[in-house]
Amino acid sequence: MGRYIVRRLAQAVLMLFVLSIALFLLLYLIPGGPQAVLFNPRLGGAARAALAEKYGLNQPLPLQYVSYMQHLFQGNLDSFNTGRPVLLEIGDRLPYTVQLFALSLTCAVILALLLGVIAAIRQYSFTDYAATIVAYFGIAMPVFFTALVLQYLFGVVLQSFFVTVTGSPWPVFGVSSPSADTYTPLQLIADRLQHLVLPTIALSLLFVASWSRYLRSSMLDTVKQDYVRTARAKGLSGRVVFFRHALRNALIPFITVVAIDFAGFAGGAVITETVFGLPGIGKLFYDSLGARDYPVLLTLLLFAATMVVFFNLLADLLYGVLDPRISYS
Amino acid sequence: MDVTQFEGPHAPVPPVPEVVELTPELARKRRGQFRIITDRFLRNRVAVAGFVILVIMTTLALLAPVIEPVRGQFDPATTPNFAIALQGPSLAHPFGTDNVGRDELARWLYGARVSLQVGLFAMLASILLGVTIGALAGFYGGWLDSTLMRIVDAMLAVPLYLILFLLSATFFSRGTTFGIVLLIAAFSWLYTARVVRSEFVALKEREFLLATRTLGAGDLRLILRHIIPNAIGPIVVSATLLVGTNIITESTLSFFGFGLQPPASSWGVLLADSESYFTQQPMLVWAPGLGILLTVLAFNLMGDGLRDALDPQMTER
Repeated sequence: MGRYIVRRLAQAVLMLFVLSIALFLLLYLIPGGPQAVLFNPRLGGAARAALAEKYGLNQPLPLQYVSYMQHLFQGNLDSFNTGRPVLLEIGDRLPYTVQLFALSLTCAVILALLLGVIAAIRQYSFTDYAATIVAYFGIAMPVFFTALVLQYLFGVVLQSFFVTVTGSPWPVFGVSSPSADTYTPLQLIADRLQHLVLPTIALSLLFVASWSRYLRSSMLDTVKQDYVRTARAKGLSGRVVFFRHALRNALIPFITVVAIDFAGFAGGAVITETVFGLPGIGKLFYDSLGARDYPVLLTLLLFAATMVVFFNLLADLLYGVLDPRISYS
Repeated sequence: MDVTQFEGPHAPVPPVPEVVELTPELARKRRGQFRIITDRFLRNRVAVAGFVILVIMTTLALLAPVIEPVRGQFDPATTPNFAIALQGPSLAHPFGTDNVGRDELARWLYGARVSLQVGLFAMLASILLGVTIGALAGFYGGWLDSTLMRIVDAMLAVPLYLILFLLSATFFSRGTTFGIVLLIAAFSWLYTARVVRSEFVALKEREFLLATRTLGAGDLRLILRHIIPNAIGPIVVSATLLVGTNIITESTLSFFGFGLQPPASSWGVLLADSESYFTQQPMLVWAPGLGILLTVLAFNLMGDGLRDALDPQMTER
């Protein structure tokens, strides 16, 4: 097992290394890349040379890559836009995204579990059909459209039904209320959470839909297995067999599905944070696109890829721990 | 095993004779593979509903240039008329008018054309790429397989929307339909390649392929004439689902301003244009939004129906 982990880690690092080179070349070689942004055509030769010198763009590409990586890891890679270190820019925005991710992932997993299990227990019941319909619509809705509809519903149609603890209309944009300075700590937390409700729904709907479908069918497959019949034959009650034997085994592939969808979550974060005006790293990515801030864009891409690879690795390892039939050698 | 599943809908079941003689009468009753699959698909009412929605949407999209002259609305992209801006639904303008007074129904119909075009053409390109790469990896195996699959893994590690936004914003598409189609296709072939590869790996060791090879068939003939026809089920299913995904991808790109640029206007462009008028004229958002929702839903329903119909495990005689 130990050797397996080391090998997988080495593979992951190698892949990220190759990926970083590929993304670097893609960004720095394409027309419209950093040169096009920094080198205004009206710029004179001397100013151009000075800029090239400052950002190291006069060096050969391999050296540029090395210096990009060096600066990144030393923490002094500067944003084109603000001139601040990229890592600081990201660090400032990260908490908002972590909050949104934590809430959305938790909600999505819990709801998908509930819906998937209920639909599997009561196959072909009203609940099952309702869950199926909701899932099909959830999968077919673009995330940004879900977000728009939620803003419209809560901000316009149901304005009088949903109000915050302070009596103001339900927040459909931004991260906190304008009058947040006067709030007590408890009110502040409530205010922040209320601002996160709609983004969380928008981001998790798609995943609740697809994960609950997946769990339902994997539960129905598991129920047909021999060991489930054995457990029933031993005289265990349906409930015990269902939760102890079937659900636990159906959950193993579920973990992999959740890990694979992490990349989708990252894309969804850019969309939700932009529509709802949350200043997380998804919004940072969107803003950096407008400003053509290549150091920030490249770093964010690499960061997202690293997280995706990490979660996939984690899922693979968990898979081995949870399913003793799989042995790594 | 559950006993009830053997009692078909036509009980009581007549005793089956040990040897069935192939009388002309029976031979006439035998159905071809295509017929079996069609029958099975048609029995799935939900999938048929999806198919019907798609037929309607496609017809509307195809007939847009025919419908519009009859309705008396001109080219929706070029005829602003501020005097009638932001009107609600009426007989003359069933979907109302947008912020510069263009007829929303006309824009919706032309938008359907663009959205479906992008979805279909991106699917074709991406299936071509995915099947080729999956076939090469699965058929030849070895270093080619591992290299190609590592590339797929690496590309899957980069979140789709991040790379698409970036490439579209910088240089790749220039907002043309062709550019967007290529861009979406360049990143949506990955799962198809994986599916096709696993089909190839499973099929290539089978006896009928050994027999064909012994008869002197070359690699290309083996792949095109013998393996792909056997793997056509999963390919058709992923193609159907891909169209829906591509429509969502295109609309998301266009909504954030990284997709098509006017005058090309898909449903996503319509949503981007009318987002800020949601409270004044909700119809401007509902029409393109529900257009996307219904179309993608229909493709997904049809894809799932095809999956069931094409599943060889469910073969019946």
